[in-house]
Amino acid sequence: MAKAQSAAAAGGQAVAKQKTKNNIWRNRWMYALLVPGFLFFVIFKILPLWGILIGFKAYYAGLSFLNSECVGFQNFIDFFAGSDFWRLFKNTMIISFMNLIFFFPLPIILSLLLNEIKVQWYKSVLQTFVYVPHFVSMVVIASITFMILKTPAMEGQAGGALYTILHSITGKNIDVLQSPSSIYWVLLFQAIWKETGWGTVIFLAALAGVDVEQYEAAIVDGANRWQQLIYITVPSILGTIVTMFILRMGSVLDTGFEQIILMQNTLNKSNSETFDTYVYNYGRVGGDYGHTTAVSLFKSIVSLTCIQLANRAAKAVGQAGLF
Amino acid sequence: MWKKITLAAMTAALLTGSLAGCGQSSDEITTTQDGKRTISIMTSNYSPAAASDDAAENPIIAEVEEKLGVDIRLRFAASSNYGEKVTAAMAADTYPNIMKLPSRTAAIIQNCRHGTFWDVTDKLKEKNPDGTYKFPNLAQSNEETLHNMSIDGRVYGVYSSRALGRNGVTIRKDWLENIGYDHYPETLDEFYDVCYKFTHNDPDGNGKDDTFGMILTSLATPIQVMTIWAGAPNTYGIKDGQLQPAFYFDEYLEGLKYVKKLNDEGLVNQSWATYDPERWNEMMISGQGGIIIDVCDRARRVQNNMPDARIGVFGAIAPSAGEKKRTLPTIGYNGFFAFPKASVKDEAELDECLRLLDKFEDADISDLMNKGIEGRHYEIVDGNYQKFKDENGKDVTKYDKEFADLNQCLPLITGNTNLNVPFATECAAEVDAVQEENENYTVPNPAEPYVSNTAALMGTALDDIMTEANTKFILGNIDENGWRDAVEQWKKKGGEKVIAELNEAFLADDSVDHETGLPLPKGEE
Repeated sequence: MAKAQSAAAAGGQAVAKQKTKNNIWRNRWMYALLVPGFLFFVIFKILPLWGILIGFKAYYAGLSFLNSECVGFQNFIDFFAGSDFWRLFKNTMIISFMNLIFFFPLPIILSLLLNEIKVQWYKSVLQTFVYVPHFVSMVVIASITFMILKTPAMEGQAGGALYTILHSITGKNIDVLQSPSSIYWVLLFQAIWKETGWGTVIFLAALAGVDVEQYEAAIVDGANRWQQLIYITVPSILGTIVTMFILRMGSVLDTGFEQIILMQNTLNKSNSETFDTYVYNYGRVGGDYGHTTAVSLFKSIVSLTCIQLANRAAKAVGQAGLF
Repeated sequence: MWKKITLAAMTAALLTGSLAGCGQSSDEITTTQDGKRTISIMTSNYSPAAASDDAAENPIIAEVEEKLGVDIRLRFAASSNYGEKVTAAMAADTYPNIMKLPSRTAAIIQNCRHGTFWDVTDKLKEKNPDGTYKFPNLAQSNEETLHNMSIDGRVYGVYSSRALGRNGVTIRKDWLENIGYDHYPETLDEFYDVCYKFTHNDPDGNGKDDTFGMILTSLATPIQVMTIWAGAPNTYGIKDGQLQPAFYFDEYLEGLKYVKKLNDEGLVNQSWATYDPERWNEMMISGQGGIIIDVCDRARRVQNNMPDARIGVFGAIAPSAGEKKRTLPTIGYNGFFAFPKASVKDEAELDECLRLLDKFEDADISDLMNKGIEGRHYEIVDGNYQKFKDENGKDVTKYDKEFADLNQCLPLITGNTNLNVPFATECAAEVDAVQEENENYTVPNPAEPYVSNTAALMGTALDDIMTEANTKFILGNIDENGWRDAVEQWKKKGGEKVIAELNEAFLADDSVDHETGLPLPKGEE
């Protein structure tokens, strides 16, 4: 009996297999389209993974990889035991969480505001304008920051616009660019100015998908604009918000590199050096590949853990999650 | 149809293009058609457009190449990311023949140890059979600097020289005369006396008590300089045949007490511990303070800012009368020219490269690369060098780009020149003289060549412990016991490990005398 059943099951499987094969053959051109993407991931993401081995060797630029001494976990031990680790961790966390707290909600709020505009042409114009800063190079933004914040080079000369405003309000010479603690705020404001508008794209798309009938029903029920927002709009895009949040958690140790390198100087380095800039300064510039590969690997492991945790948390509160 | 063919052609072109890019390799020394040897030099540039190395475009290069019989190929990389370019060249194995290495990073030290670059320790002072030096200019390399740049006692290149005696004291010369001094202070007691009189004897003669002696800032170097004056070693000293940090020596504490006395008696600016070094000059220019311990060159800059005052500069101070004067030296070099074995195949080629750098030191070549060609870039007026100016009287002419950054190829070891460049001020001349004189009084750091892994990992955290303790001790926030506690803390937080690591390297280095820490004379014959 049991045998017959399993035979039947096997038969069923065979049939299913045949079906799949036919399916694949029938849609072979569709599958062919998959090949470039597949190759991309294999060649550029999977194959280079052997490079992780560098993290376990005393390997420096210019030396032979094979002849470099294997040091086991020494690179990791050096990194965690050294005084740099906590400083980098602190800076990375401060920059990342300031971003999460102050920057993350802004595109959502902005897109909700844009969504409330009923004059279509005005909305489109506004949307176009808020996208513009995204296309400005970080280098240009750094230059603008320097220009508006610079202190007068000599007595009697004019400082930057923002410096002059701060000076006239407080009466003090505030040198934002050189004060270590203000670098966090400079980075945050740059990010907000540059990316808030662009960040609305995905939320506006989600908002466009909200069923209009729900609003009509709500209006019939006597809901005002505010109530419509709270009870219909926000719940409908909550899934998107959670997805974005999970993705953001995955890059909690990615502070971005270009922006910080551009704003970094010797005076604020104690506060602006993060994992990313550290890897650049010691790896790309200093040539200490072994040590910095270990740092990067550590970063990847933390990122993966964060994504997993955020995903589980999302599922736990009843959201769909990522995977 | 045509679309497809064009597409295929473009793809092919792109592919071959990128593949050709991969084929780049290290430079080889070859002979050109007109019999010149090609030698490539990689160095940093500071101006936005560095000089061209094409003899047809650049008359300076044409003349230098003609004189030396070498086809010079320059590979300039911007100084702001020069380190990155060097690392990239090492990683991709695309070496020039002569490569300026910016500093002794861990990667560079490892590469030197593993034979990526030629060891030139015995080359620099090599002699011909007739007893003359093979490279007469390079043979004049300073032993102290060579020792500072050595790795395990070996030298892996020709250093790019910087003044060893760069540190000095900027002082109001006119004030000094007003308080009755006809010479610069030479001992600690005299220096104290000058600080005292600058504060209390109305050196500016305005009848008001509005001056003080010395301007200190949050920078720790002036305090280190004063401990050295008091007889302490520079950063590390030698006790019982071992390297020991300077603050293990009694003289160091004596030096701190000396600074404390200056502070307690109000002979320095108040709240100096938080005073921004960027504003160092301000208190001198405003006529309040009279002394700054920093680099000699500060005197020149202060003088330019206050033409009515007379600014002087001096270098060294002795602990007491009759003892030798002392000063804090720099490491004496800023990067060094190394010769990669991948591009410099054998010793004959190495000799060619060394000869080129040696010739760069000859007065005529060095003048060409520094200042250009007489009659095109400058003229000689009354025997003095005078730069041509443009039609608006500005100092920069359209020909300047012909020698822009060429001096980044020069080791500048000898300072040979045929040109007499007049100094802008009396002070500028004095700065130059003092820097030279200082070389007699430098107190070398015997630990400079050695690398401690722990110290590198700790960054400045260890140094900060002692800097903070020193400041607190001078300000009176902690007493001698408190300061000794800080030393203990320094030991525990990794200091002891640093000492052990440095000593391991120090004792393994048989090119130095382990009693004095000075390099042993190199065996010549």
